[in-house]
Amino acid sequence: MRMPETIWSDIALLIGFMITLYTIIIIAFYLFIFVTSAIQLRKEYRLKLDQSFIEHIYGDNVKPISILVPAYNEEAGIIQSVRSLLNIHYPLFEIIVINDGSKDSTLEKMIKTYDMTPVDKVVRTVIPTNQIKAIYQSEVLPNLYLIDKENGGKADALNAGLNFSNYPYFCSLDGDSILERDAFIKVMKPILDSNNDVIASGGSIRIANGCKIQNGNVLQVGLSENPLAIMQTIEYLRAFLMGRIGLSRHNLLLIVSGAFGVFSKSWVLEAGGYKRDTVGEDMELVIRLHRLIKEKNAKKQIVYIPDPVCWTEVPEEITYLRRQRRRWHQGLFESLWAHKKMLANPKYGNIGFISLPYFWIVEFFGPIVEFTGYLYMITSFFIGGIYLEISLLLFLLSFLYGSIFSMGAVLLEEWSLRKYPKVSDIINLFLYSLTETFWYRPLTVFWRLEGIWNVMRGKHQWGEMKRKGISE
Amino acid sequence: MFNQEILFLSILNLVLFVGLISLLGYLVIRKFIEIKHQNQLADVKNKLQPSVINYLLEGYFGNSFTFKKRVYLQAMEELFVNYAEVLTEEKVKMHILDFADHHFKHIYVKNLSSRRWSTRMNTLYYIEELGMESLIPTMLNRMDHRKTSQTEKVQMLRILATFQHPKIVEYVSEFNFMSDSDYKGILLKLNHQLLDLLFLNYHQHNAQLKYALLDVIYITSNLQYIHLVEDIFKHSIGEERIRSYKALVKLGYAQDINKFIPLVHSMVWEERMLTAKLLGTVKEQQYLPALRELLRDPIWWVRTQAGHAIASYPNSTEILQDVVQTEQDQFAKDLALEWLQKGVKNENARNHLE
Repeated sequence: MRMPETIWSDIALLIGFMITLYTIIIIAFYLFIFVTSAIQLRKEYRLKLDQSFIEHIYGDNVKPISILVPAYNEEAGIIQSVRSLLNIHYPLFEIIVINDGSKDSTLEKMIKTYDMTPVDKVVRTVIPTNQIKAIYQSEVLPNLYLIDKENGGKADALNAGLNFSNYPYFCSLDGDSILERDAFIKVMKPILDSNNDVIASGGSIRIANGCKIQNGNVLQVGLSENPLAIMQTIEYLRAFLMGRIGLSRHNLLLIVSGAFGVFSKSWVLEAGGYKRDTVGEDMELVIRLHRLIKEKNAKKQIVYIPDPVCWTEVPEEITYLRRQRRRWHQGLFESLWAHKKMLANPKYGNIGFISLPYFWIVEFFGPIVEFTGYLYMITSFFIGGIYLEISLLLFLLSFLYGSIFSMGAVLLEEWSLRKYPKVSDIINLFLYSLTETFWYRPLTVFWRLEGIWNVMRGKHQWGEMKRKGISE
Repeated sequence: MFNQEILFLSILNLVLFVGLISLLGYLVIRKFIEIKHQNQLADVKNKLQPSVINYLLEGYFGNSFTFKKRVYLQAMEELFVNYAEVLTEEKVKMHILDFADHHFKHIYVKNLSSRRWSTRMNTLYYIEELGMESLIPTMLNRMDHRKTSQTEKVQMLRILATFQHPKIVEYVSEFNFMSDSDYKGILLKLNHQLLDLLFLNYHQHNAQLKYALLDVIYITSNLQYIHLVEDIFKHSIGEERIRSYKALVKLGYAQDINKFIPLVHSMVWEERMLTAKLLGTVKEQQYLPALRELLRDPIWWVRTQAGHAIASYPNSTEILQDVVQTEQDQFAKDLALEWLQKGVKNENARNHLE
């Protein structure tokens, strides 16, 4: 008969092995994506892109775009956001700001700044939304509209904008983001080049904290001095440069970020618009589009371009960052849960067998495994022996997975896109990414774990975000 | 028990770490050099600017420069590209070309077979901007090269098109990877002789090229091909039929409008929209009922076009007001109202701008 202690120690060993194995698999997966991305990025290294886009500006064949800007309590940034939109280089577009029942002065500010007057317009309700109170059109800029509606959440606001919009392509944009002038030309290029086979196209998002922004234009790219903002800069570099390029290359992309992406309106309407009452409405929509593509057996694509085209403000305080991460994790779960039938379903090909399992295992359950790993390491300190060895192994792996990959991402940026003009910015980014494993990663793991906890309790916690406004 | 694994991982981490640090070192040094180079380039550009203007207009430099250093040539390249967009006189072009053939050509020949794709692409852009016809033989050699990408081929075709090179007809018909916007960019540069050759074999081409050819007629309003377009319209379906109809409408092909009236009830909304447009160009009162019907169309584009067509009638205000008062359909009403307001809105916007 075996002693109970040996059973316990067997279990402890097994857990140790499992976590180690899990980490190794993930590292292998990331390594694969990293290499794909690096090759792709390097190919376009130093390409003078502007020139190739110029011809598209003058073409007779550009597709007009409706730009939807949902705004809920965005008084700090909305005017600058709209102003940056007015500056964009694109031949034909309309801007539709949707005031989703803001409690602050978003509506008044818009009306006053852009001289907006009510217009009689019947909106065709393709997707049901909350009551629209009024529609305004700017006296000075006839292509600027403002929809004032009862609060219904971001997805509801976007649907109202979709119902109202006139053009075949649309883009949704957060009220606190600043677009580069050529953003639309760059993002529309894959759609135009593909004879409309591309039905959604997303661009990179970069962090505006620390950049010099005036009148809705990025004057100089810079790095924030706030450690949390710097860590998020690294995180975004890693997600966009490494993750999405690699996934896009194999049409596995599940996220076209809510902050900036262009979609074909007819496909989105056919898919049923944005889903209400979900936090991650952008991801959910992309999964639904993939689903529709497969169900219709269409040869359509969803792509991502690495060029940073959109600058957004990120939280610099721990309270707000924590809320954001909890919310994102809940959103991730809702999207994945809503489409659980696609998981490992042969009908959905690579999406069902690679993308979705990846999001479930790595993105959603990752924090649980990582947290267990942390506990393991702490406990082993007191027990010692073989467990300490496993812990050391785990630590080395997580350093590889966290810090080394992040440093790699920073260097990849400097190797290819080179958006940061100062040498000191790159060195700072590099040094900060070295510390990732020791504080930032555990923090995000903990916050995401809280998200899972909220999901389990069935608790919806949106949490309002505070913006300070990024433009001077 | 795990000593070996731990050792392995420690070494791996260390190696990667050292590797990344050295990479950082390299990139930082490169960045320093790059920044220095950029500053130098800006200085040289400032220094050269007055002389370059003199050269472009008069054909000689005020001061003497030696164009041996890379930074000088790069500065000239950038200045030329800037000026080539603004100064379009023949004389200026000649001077740019003289200089380019003398100083850039051998570099470009080498660049065109560079292993780096972006170098080849950038060189092709410069060749187009500077109008260097003398590099066409080199490009033709590259065209069939195994490593030449599709994007490069499209760009080369654009350059061939600029110089009306006869080979273009063959290439355009042969390459079936291009999108219709690629095709259009090329076709719009071609002269009549070359376009004729392409239209001659219209029915053998791939769908994208067909669409592009029809769009070229639409954009240039070239009446020469009206019979061909009419023929295509009669015998085609789907996208081809829509595009040929679009071209016909643009050409103001109104010999027998009644032939097109049944299209008011077409199942394809694009055809209904184009019919609205056609009726807007003839502006005859007898077609008003048809237009009012299109004003009730479920598709926004058709309604807008119908509204636009009515707005172009001489008595449009009356008609639109009548629509607002008598029409049952909300969309028709809404659109009429919008067109009534539109005149006012645009007027306001203009006043504000002034």
